[in-house]
Amino acid sequence: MKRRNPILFFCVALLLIVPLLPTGRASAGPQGKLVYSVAVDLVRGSFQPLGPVCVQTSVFKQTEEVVWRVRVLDIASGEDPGEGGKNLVALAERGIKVTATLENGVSFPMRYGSHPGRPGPGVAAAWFWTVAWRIPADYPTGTLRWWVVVQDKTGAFVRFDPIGGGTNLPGAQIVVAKGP
Amino acid sequence: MRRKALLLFCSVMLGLLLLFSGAVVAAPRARAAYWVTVDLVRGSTDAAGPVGAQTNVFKQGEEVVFRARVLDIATGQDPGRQGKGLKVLQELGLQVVAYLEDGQSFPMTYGQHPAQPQGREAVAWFWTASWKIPDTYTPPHDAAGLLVPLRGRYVKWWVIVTDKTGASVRFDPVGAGTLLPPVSIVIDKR
Repeated sequence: MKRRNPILFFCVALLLIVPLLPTGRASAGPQGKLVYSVAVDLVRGSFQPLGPVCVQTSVFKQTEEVVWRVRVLDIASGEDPGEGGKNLVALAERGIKVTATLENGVSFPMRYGSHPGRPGPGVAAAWFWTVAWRIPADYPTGTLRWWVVVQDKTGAFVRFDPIGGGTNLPGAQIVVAKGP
Repeated sequence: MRRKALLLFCSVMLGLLLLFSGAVVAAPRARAAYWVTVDLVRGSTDAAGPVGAQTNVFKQGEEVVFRARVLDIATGQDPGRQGKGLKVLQELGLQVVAYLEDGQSFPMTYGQHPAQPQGREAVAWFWTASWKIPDTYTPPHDAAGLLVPLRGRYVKWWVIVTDKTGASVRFDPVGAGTLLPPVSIVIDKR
């Protein structure tokens, strides 16, 4: 009897503990941290453009303006935490910060705003995050990796890399070409 | 004898428990949801500008390539596990389709990019579909009516991700619902 008890105890303990252990698959991803859905594109800004303004592009010339546009949605609700500009307090309370970063270490805090900035009567506007970077005239030509990070007061942290990030695919980087 | 039976019983129970806990995780969730991001790049067919670069402005005869990254929200990971989980994709019944507002749709395929890497070149797995714009294609709207007027005409687009469980996620470009140029594919004559 005395010899059976330790085996029984061991088996029961295992049966109780195993369900509490995380599985390999579940622990593989950043569970609980992907709280924001983030979509990003790049468009040509209106400052000294050498091509059509406000169209998507990943190829810019020196002196042109790169504009990051970011939509941040709360995954739980599928909604913009700023409720299309109607709830700026909620954004402040959450402490949401959106930052675009270049591989050379330069980073650009983004701002939440209406686009177009001053819509006329009957003109639909969308609220999202933007920032512009004017490429210096003497900036080296070539490719430049970039990413966007969204974080808040709770420690949520979502990094967006362009599709194909980590590869040499041209769409995954900013291409800086010779300017005028 | 009774001790052996007890040991056997406990082992079988433990095995079943391990098997069961794994199956729960591997099976498609009842309510799957995905993190979807999409961009457009210029394809290599009859290109009138830099190939592979992001753009939403094309000329007739060029190739629009839709590129989509789909992540499982629960894990933050690609369900296809960068090409190592093709069976999982099949089991999930994941379908990714690009739509144009004129009714055309383009089922996307999951693959490796670049398709034929050189040496140790890094690759990424994501979903793509290409649409070669017919030389005679006329989009429904005049691009002069966009908030930033452009030459040519435009058509709106979106991408929908679905799976066997009934999950459905729609991706629209940033600024959807407005007349900002990036919400559309602008097509000009060659």
